[in-house]
Amino acid sequence: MKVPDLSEQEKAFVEMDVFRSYIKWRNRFALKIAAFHLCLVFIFDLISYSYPELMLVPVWPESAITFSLACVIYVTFSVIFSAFYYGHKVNKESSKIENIPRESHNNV
Amino acid sequence: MFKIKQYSVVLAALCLFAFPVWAAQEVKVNYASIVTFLLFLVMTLIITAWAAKRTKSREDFYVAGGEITSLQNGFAIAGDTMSAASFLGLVGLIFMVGFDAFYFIISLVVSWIVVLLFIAERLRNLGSYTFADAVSYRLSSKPLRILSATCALAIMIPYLLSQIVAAGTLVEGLFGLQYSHGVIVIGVMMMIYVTFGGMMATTWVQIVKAVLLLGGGTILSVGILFLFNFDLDELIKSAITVHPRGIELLKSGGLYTDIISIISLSLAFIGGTAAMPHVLMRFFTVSDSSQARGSAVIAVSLVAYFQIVVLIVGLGAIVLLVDNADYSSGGLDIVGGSNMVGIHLARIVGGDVFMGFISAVAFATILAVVSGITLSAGATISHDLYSNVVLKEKCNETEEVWIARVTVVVLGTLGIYLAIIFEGQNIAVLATWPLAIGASTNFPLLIMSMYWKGFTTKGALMGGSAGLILAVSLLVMSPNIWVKVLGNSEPIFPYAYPTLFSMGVCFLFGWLFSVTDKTERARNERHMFKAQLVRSQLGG
Repeated sequence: MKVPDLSEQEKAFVEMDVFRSYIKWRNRFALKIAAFHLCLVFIFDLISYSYPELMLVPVWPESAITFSLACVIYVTFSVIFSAFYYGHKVNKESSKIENIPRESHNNV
Repeated sequence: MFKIKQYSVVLAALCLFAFPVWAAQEVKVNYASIVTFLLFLVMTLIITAWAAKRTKSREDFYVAGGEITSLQNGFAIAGDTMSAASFLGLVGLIFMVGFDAFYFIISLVVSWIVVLLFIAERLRNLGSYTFADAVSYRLSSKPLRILSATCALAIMIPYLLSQIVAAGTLVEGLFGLQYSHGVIVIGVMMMIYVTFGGMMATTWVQIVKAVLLLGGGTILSVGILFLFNFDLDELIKSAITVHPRGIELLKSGGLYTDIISIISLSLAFIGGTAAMPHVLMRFFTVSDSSQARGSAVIAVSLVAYFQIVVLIVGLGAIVLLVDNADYSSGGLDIVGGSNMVGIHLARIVGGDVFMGFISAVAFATILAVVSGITLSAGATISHDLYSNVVLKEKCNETEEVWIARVTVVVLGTLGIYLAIIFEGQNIAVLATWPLAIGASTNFPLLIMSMYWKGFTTKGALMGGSAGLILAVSLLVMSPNIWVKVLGNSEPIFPYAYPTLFSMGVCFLFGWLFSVTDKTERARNERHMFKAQLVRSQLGG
């Protein structure tokens, strides 16, 4: 067990409000996206097993694109969109942390 | 250092070895596939020669010196995920059963969002070369590395074997080359890439293959849509009309008939993908956590896009191959089995040349994936076991890399030997092992060690061991092995995947033995969580 101790500068930095609120925001943001997609997977599993006929319902009258295909396409694009949105938001928010001058870490 | 001239000799030897064998075969040889594959070999050997010059240190060998960009790494990670199983296998599955293949597609895509959100960055900041570095960051290194290495090898060896056997079988059908010669070619090439080029060569081989596979898949799906005037509705209606299941094609029940197997399958994909040692290792090849995040974003997008391609190709295969007398002996009985569906379809859409291209890409896919697995297995044995456990971190860099290279050669030779022995055996069951074991061991260990303050060494050992033992035992007792391989009439464990139980037990034991651990060591480990948390956020 060789966990390096935090330097005084790092200790001060992690106690800063801006850092703490960033971590809190980020954890919640990640949890929301993950929970949404995991729910999609397991709800899809449960519905497809419990109400298989529902999977055959067309998304609009006379269409061959059924609810099951729509789910696959929706989940796939939702994942792509969420990944880019997450990456973009985190880049934006983390730049606030990175832009804090190193010296100011000691001024907390 | 290995010189380009020597590579030319190796390549010439391979060609001399391969061509007479091809010439001696009586089966119809597709020269387009041979030319495409030889071009791939030449290109990858040039890459390996270039990478070998840059591979000087341990860091270079294991993680390409951290010089890979997020774009490159994203393609390499996506390439690792887009294996032959996820292309030829999934297309074949859509062709055979329809809807139940959607479980695979959805859970595979969502697994990558889990990697992006919870694993990529923290893993990059806490580890150096293997995922065991991150798991044992504040916990007892020696027992955890032994456990992690055992789990990693339990995942990688069956995975490696199943891929090499699949390659040998594919080569027989596609290139007219004998099974054993195909296995030897893939084994030797894999050893050359990894031994001399390390992670740099393995990454670039994977990138080249990913581009070829994405390009080939895109052309194939556009070709199918072109045949239906880009009308998806028309494509689906035609598929429903010709498939023996009719409209039931888009309804569950073709493969799985119980909810436990369905949820276990989803958990296996979600947890298992996030726990593949050779995929996790790629996050150490970038310079920092933001690059790791970028890699994961790109990988997620490419993998998700590829699943749409697979869906279109699968539906197209139903329309164009069911009851097609040239490729089917009636209904869904396809020449060469369901894994050949994508290859036959390529011939219908683009003729012999395009079929040759797709065949060569499929073979290249296996070659690139086995290289990544072998490198990761080499790192596990040399870094985790030899350097950290046996020599207690007193091993010098040169010796460690040498051990890794020897491991790669031994594993490659063993893989070739076992693949020849397993010729004709039902090895498809081996493909279910890696995901189920990864989801039941590595995934819970990674998540709990990085996110839960109360997690202790005792909890990790008990949880990981219980998950591993239960996953392996239930897999052996499942219908895939107990009935199909061992020939018993009824399975002891009735479900296809054990993940719901084995992953649950790993989390439960990890929690239970951690909260009841009142030792001084456990107190220290909990105390060190804050420092680990900061490192996982800031790196350094």
